[in-house]
Amino acid sequence: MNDIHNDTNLREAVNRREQHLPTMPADLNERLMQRLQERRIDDGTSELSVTAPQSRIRHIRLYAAVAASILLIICIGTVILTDKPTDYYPLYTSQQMETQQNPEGVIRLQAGVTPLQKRTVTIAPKGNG
Amino acid sequence: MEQVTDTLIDNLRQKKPAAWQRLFTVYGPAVFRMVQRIVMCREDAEEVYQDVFVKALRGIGGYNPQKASLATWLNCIAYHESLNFVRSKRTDVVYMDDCCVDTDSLDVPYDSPLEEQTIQQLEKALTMLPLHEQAIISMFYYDNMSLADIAYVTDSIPSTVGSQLSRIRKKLYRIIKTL
Repeated sequence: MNDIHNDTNLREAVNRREQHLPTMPADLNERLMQRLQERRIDDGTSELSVTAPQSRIRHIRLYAAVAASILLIICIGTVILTDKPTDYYPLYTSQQMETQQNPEGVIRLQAGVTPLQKRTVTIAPKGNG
Repeated sequence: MEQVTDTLIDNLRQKKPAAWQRLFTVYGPAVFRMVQRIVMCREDAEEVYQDVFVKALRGIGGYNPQKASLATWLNCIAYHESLNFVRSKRTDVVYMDDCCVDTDSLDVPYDSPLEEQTIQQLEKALTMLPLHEQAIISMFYYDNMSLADIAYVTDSIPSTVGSQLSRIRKKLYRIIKTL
């Protein structure tokens, strides 16, 4: 901690830098007084209350952004959940459908025969005949 | 002095224009200095200066003298208002960041005599620091503010400000080695 306090070079450098900063304009406080007196503080539309609506707008924007994000998440979630699984599991689904429509499918599944095997077995005799 | 300040605060709370005038006269130069450290453009600095006092007068009811002096409280508003203004401008200024500076392996002088060349280099290096770091250094070395007051201004804690100052100082000496 002492090293910070004892650094005379840095202190001098900061002092010099501060000397280069421009001084305050003489009429700045007068302009500020004018600005304040133009709109009285007690007035509802006073200078002093000018940032209140801005902060309100900022809050509204924030709420809107949060609401939009939640809606987006819900929409994406709905799309994912309602999407049919056929796109992702075609073989499994085709087997399921076949099982439901055709009782043979049940037997074939029980016997461990896939639709591809069945096809080769059934097509071959027809070609020969 | 304390009683004078208390009276001033009371008058400000009662929205007396004479009290505004006194506030600007007594505390204006320090506030303008704080703004000017961060907002380089003179016209912008004047605008921010006015906004600081407008904000201060609006919030004087919530000011707690137990937490900080009036000057520190005004400095706090000026510091944040200036940084917000600069950030809203979104100027792409590249400062020397910590990632470029290996401060651990640096041999920083503990207590060195005044050296003209080092002072000039440090002065140059100061401009390469991020604005909030420049302000912290100035508050400590120029305004002679305590770590507690700087912590109040920067919304931090004194120990953090101490380590920040140490880190910034090391960074400055690292920068001057690259100059």
